[in-house]
Amino acid sequence: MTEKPSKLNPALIGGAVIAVFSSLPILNFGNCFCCMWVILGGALAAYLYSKSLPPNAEFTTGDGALLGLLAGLFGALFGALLGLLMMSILDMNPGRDLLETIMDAGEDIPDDFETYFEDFDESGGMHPLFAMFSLTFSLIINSIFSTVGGIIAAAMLQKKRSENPSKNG
Amino acid sequence: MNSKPSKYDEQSRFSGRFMVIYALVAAGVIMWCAALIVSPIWLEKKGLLAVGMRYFFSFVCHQNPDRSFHILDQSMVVCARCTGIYLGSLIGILSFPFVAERLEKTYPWKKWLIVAVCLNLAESVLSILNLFTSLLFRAGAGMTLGFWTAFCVLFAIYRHNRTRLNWGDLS
Repeated sequence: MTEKPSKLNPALIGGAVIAVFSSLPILNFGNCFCCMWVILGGALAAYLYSKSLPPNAEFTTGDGALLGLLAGLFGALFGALLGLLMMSILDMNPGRDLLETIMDAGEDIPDDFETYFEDFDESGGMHPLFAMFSLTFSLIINSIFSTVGGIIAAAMLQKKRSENPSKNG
Repeated sequence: MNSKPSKYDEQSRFSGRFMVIYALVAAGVIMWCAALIVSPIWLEKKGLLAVGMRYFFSFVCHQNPDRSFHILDQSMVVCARCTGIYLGSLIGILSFPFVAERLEKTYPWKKWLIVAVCLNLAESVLSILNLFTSLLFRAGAGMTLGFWTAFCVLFAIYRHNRTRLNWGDLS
C-alpha cells in the first residue's frame, strides 16, 4: 500500500488562507456569500494534498473531509489571533457591531443585554466572554463549511485524477 | 475475488455507516433551518437565545434586513439567499434517498453545481448593477446552490462508503 503524505501542511495552508481572507476588511465580505473563503480554504487544502499524492495513491472523500475539517479548525484559531490584531489596529468593536445589527433587525434587545453590550463597548473591542463565544462559533462554522469544501473538492479531484493518472503527483 | 459487486451494492446501498452519517447530516441541517425560522420569533419576544443566534449567524451572513425575509416584523437571521441555500440543502438531503439510485450513474451533478454557482453569481452581478433585484429570485438561486451542494456532498459520502464496503467484501 502506498504511503500517503502528511495532511498537516495542506491543512495549515488552507487554514491560513481562511484566516487571512476572513479577517481582512472588505475581503472578509466574501464570507457573506455562504462562507466562501471558508469553503475555498477547505477545497484548497484538499487540492494541495492531492497534488502531493504519489500517482498510484488513492485520494478518498474521507481524506477531503478530514483536510477540510482540519483547515477549518486551523482557520478559526489563526483567525481569532488575526482578528485580535485587526481590532487593535483598526479600532473594530464586534460588540458594538452586534448591537447595531440587532437594532437594525427591528426590535429592542433584552434589557439585561444592554449592560453586557456596554461592557463590550468599554472593554475596547474584545470582552473575554465575547472572544470565547466568537472562537467557539468560528470553530463550529468553519469546521462545517470547510469540510463541505474539502468533500466537494475531493469529489471533483478524484475524477480528474482517474482521468489523468500520468499527471498526478 | 468478487468481480460482480453490483449485487452487493444493491444490498448495502443505504445501510450501515452511510445511514448513520446521513442521519447526522440530516439532523444537523434540520436543526440549522429550524433555528433560522425560530430566531425571529424569539427575538420578537426579546429572547436571550435569539440574540446569541443572530450573533452566531453573523459569521455566515451580512444579515442586511433589506435583503432578508421577515417573520413577525423581524428580519430573519440570514439573508434571502442564505435562507434559500439552507432550505435548498434541506430539500436536497431529504430527497436524496429517493432519487440517488436513479440518478447515480447518469446524473451530471457536478455540472449542475457549477450551473448553480454561476446562477448565483449572475444574480449578484444583476443586483449590484441595480438591473434586477428580487428577494424571491435571490432565494431561488440560493436554493439551487444549496440543493446541489447537499447532493454533491451526499453523493461523495455515499460513493466513498460503498467503495469501502466493497473493499471489505473483497478482503
